[in-house]
Amino acid sequence: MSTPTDHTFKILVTGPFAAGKTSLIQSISQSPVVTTEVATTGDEADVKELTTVAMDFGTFALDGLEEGEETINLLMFGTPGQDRFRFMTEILKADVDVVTFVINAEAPDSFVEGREMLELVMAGLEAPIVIAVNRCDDPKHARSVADLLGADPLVQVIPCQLVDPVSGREVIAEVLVALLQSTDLELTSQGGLR
Amino acid sequence: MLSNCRESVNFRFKIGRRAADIKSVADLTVINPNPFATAPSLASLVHERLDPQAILNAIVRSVAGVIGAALASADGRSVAHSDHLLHDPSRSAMIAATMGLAGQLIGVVGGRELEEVIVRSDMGIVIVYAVGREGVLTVLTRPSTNLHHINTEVRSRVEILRTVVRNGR
Repeated sequence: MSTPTDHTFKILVTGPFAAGKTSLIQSISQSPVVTTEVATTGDEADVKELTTVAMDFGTFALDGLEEGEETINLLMFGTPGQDRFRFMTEILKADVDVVTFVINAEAPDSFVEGREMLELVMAGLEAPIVIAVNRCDDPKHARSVADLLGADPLVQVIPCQLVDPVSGREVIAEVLVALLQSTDLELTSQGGLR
Repeated sequence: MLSNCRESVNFRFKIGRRAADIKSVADLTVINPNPFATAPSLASLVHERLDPQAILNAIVRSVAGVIGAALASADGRSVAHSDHLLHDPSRSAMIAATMGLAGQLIGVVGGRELEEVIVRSDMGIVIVYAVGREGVLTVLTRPSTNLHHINTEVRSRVEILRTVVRNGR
């Protein structure tokens, strides 16, 4: 009989300013989210009231359903979005297992910056990536946004509404798929993992 | 957006309603010319009360051991820095990130209001003061500096800087 094991994975949640990174973590975390939000100033205050200045942190666990199945723990680290906080992304991306790149489909002005961010964050990383196209319901449109970011056609892209926890879980499902494809874990017929 | 100002130009940062009638430092000098050659002019006194860079320079000038001071918004935008301190936008962002994490860390001891963060090194000390919830004041000192003395001197100026940051938003 095999002994159940906990597997812990580090998920980086990154993307441009006001893309929905904090919303994603807050909507799905099963533990109280550690946030470092402060009042936004200058022209950024026209977009939203609060902004992350260091990191967000949340967790998500998928327990094994049956004997012999293993528990998956996701540790989600969210970065600030502004260019001036890029050093935080460099710190947080160490040893990451999956990158979740969040982009706001209704903010096309952020696509050029997003493309640059995506290239920088993936520099030196072997980890798989999931692109969450926020404020978008159309898979084709989501894919076209990912194309504008310069994403590989094989990268998993998911349209989502990150204020909705159900939508956030769909993003996490894609993250788990990316993990399964990059590790030797298997999905059981009951929906658990081993 | 706040910007540094010089003696010869109008105040470019937002000032309170009562002071809004004062158009410039030059105007002040005409209204009340200083009869004492060695004493600070009224204009320079007002200047030091309202201009963030002048306040930071005053901290460096008057507090023993302080070698530089900088003011930033809590979300990591540079507002002003003392003379001879290089302008470095990433420093403001690092300070904001440090304060953001420290603001969570104080929960370990049940704290609710972050007051300051102290980072010591062999070459000097970095002290970061919360300026209300909107700003952060960074003070750089020599390694052997008396922190109690600095805290006393700097805290007396934090409330003034808080007004500056609030008006500059």
